[in-house]
Amino acid sequence: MYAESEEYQTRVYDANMLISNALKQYNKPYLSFSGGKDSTVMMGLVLLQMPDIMVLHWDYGRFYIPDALRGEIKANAKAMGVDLRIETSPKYEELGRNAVNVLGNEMMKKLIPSLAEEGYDCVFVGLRSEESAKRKRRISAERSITIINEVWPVRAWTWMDIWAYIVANDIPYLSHYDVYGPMVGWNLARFTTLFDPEFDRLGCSSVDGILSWRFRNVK
Amino acid sequence: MDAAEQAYFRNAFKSGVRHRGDMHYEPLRVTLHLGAPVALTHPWVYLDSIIKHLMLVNALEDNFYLLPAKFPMGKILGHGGSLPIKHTSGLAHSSASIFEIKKDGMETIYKRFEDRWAGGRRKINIGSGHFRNYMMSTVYVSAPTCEFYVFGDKKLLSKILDSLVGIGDNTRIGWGHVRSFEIEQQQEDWSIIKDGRAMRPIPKKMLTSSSEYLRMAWRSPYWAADSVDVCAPPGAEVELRG
Repeated sequence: MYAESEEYQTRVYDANMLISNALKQYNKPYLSFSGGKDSTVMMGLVLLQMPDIMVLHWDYGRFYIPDALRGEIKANAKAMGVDLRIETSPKYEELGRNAVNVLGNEMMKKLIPSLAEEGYDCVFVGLRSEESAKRKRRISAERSITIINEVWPVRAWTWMDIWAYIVANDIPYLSHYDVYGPMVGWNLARFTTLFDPEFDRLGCSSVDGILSWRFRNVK
Repeated sequence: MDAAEQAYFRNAFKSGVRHRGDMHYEPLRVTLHLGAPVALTHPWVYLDSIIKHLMLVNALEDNFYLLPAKFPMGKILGHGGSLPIKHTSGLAHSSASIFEIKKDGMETIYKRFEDRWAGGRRKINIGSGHFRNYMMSTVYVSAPTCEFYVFGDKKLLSKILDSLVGIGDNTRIGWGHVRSFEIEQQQEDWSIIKDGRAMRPIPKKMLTSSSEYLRMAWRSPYWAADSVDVCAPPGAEVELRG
């Protein structure tokens, strides 16, 4: 089994070291949890060292994430012993599927500065270099995009490592992957907002139109 | 689209409509024999929308290519002729597509600039605009046939389907190529319901019960927001009103 390989064990060790060092270096860290597989695995790792860490979840609203999946996110966090702090923006309800760049304007520009004021000085983010060239560059340059320092414990992990950790540790994951994985590929299946115009240029809405057709015309 | 443009297309459509007169509707099965996988953006393809599209192309001829994209022309043009598929209160007696799926998957289409498109220009912006490079994911199904159950006029359907080149998305680059088709008469009409199950989206107002309801398009154009209503989706256990 891959989870027994040295390669995987080394990555888990390195991730634990990154977490351990960050916990020593910073006074008040929090964890950013999207509900996707990467942040779920990262949460599993961080909870082993800091079970009472504040876990923040940004809710994209019912127009971008089906209610069933929003429920699963909360249930999965609860199953891992986490009481989520959920933040959102009323813009998602006001603008529906026309809500564009709300994350940037509401979370990055408003919420995160307010978290910094609350004293949070570090955030664990489930970013991986393998995901895109842009993320790879950002990670290698150690560039945080917010005023709070980011730590990426699973930065060097591959999709195989992520799934191996989920399977080996019986971590709950979203049913979304069971729908998208077989079609898109288990290496490429990602949990993102559905029918989001920001991803239209990648054809995501076409894929969502097939795999999440029930969610196409939500009102 | 301004009033003058609307009048222009309305007149062009009226003078171009070739199919008039009484229809002889009967239960039919239309089988499309496919020569290439079908790229889809939705689980189903609808024959009534294909037929209306072909009728519009046939009637407008070259004017069709002047039409704005994503503009529901039906409101401006009206039916303008006889439809080869029976409609009841706007609902087409035509099932959603039934693919004999052998394989499904995802493919990525890359649009890349080629020198021959430059037309003598020395600088081309490939980051945005007409020549923008992009990669786009598309879901496809590989199926030898696609079937529809229809309550329609065999003769006119056959005439219109003669000009069908492909179905689904991106037919311009070869997806969904239709090699041939056949239309067979059926004993029973399965265009709307078969064995108590919906064969197409049916609006709630036409039903007394359904095992599932959700918002989806039930009439063409299926991409238009005002075609969406609460419906029983294909496959739901339903009972028709009246």
